Amino acid sequence: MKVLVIPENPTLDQHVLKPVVERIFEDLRRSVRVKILTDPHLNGVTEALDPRMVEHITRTYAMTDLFLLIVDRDCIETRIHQLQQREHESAAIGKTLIGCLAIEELEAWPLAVHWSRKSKVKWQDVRANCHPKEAYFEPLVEEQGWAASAGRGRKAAMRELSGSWKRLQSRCPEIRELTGRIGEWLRNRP
Amino acid sequence: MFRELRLTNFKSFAEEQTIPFAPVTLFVGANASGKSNALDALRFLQGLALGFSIAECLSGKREGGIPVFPGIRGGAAEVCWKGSDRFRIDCAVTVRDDPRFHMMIDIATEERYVDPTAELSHVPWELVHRIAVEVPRLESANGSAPLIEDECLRMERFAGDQQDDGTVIRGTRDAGDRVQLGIGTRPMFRLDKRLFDRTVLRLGRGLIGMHQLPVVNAFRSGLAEIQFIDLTPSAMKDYVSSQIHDLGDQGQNLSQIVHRVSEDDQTRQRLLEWISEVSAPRIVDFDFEVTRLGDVLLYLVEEDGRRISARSLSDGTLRFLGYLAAVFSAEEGSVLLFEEIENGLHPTRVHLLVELFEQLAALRNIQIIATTHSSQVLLALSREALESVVLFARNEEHPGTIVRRLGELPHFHETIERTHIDELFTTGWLEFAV
Repeated sequence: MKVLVIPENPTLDQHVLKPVVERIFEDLRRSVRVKILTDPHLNGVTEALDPRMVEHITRTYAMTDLFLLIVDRDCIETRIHQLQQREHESAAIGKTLIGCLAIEELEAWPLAVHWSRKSKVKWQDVRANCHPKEAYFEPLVEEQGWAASAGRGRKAAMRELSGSWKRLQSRCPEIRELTGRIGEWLRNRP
Repeated sequence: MFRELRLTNFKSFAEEQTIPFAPVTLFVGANASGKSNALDALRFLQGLALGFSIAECLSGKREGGIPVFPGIRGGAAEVCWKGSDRFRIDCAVTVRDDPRFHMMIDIATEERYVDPTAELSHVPWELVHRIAVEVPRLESANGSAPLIEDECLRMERFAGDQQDDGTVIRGTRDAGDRVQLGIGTRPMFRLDKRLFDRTVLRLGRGLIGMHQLPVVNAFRSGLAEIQFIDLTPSAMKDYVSSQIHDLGDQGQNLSQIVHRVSEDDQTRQRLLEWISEVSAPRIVDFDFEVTRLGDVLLYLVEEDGRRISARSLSDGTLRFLGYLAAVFSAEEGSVLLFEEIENGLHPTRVHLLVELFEQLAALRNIQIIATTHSSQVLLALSREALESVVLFARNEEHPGTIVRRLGELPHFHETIERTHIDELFTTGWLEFAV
């Protein structure tokens, strides 16, 4: 089975998205090939949510079984409607696309892997912050000495994913929800 | 760190052209547009810094039949723009973070040669070197060695847009006196201390009875240490003496450099993460075979425990290891030059190289200058680095090479909001915009 993940920018996001999506399918006991879209190289959420772009991608990568469109919410409550719209448009041309909003930025996911109860900051505050990348993730990278790691620290940060998967799911419910939706799609597949 | 290079009548550069540098600077342009000629100019300056004569810097030097300096492509015969018999190179180097330079400033301050109110340590400085050379035509009766027409080195405060009411200068230019340094065929780096002690440099309006040698030495060592690296996989597979400390111009000392830098556990981990991204089988460790004579050979250890020696690694893996070794082993403040960085790398992995360069240049305070023909490379650049890409172009309206930063091209900013750089690159939009 082939899964294509559409990020808003693959350069850094791929280091977070690939291990998380692979782990979701591991949980669902399905063997898949996960590819992060790098061509066209998207550059921002506007481009990733552009209906013509999404259609171009789904038609170009016609061999894909499932498209995952995963972008930041950035504290924009209405973004979910755009995402749902792309899902409907894809379904209309016979493609399966599931959208997911990382709240509020994708960097909240590696933060969740490393956040501990001893941290000075409450997890709710991390979740509520519209810019967790600058506020929390980049200081964490600095503190841990990960700056020379691939993906500006993301690769090193996600290394401990396997030991903290449950924690990540509970701290970032959007991942649990995404897992549930993929599971449902798998069950309903002919 | 290089800030800019200005070339006049040098190879394909006719009128003066300015090449600006950023921490990561990529040169793009069609074949024969002048990218490699700009690198030749840096090679020429490096030759000066290494103490070679002008003729040797241009045409290369051999000792006992062994090449010790390659010179520039085409040598003295083809160094001047057609019809001309002289060329000029101006080179500005920022020295804000160079401790050797700070030490010299401290000495100057202590001796009250400069305005004590100036906050010297907070303002970037630069050294601006100019050399103008006359190259007698080969057919002339007295076809003699190339001669220095003018050579000078100035210290300038680089205040950018800030108004500096201390020691002069707004922007980059100081009208301070220049000092004639080069004499005949002897560039300044070949002059001895006695000659320097008779010279005087000016710092803004204030005259410094300068310890000139440290200034020149700071500049010289920066140029001398430029690393021109042309990674050649066939040369990277052998045992290397553990006494060697540099990667080598072809990356031939790869095994020893990876051995050395990976002695630090954190660096080893970082290298493994990067190489795992490139390699299809997951790499979990490095291993090294060290012979009784102290020669080292690198092995990559795959997830299933299989050890693959450098001799068996793919060209792409060796190249990426070479880039890793270069950036992780470079001294702070180093300048690394690479040509056609995408060679041997699969297009889906090229972005990793760009990421590596941008991250490590910032983190380790090194400067990377590279040429590329790859739209994948451009696509992977951050916006800031993309604007700093330098385009080399030729057209019918101008003699010689024209140089522009992408960020300065007309309509670039609005166009890049709507279109991807690969489209602008492959359709010739960039050259047309010049």
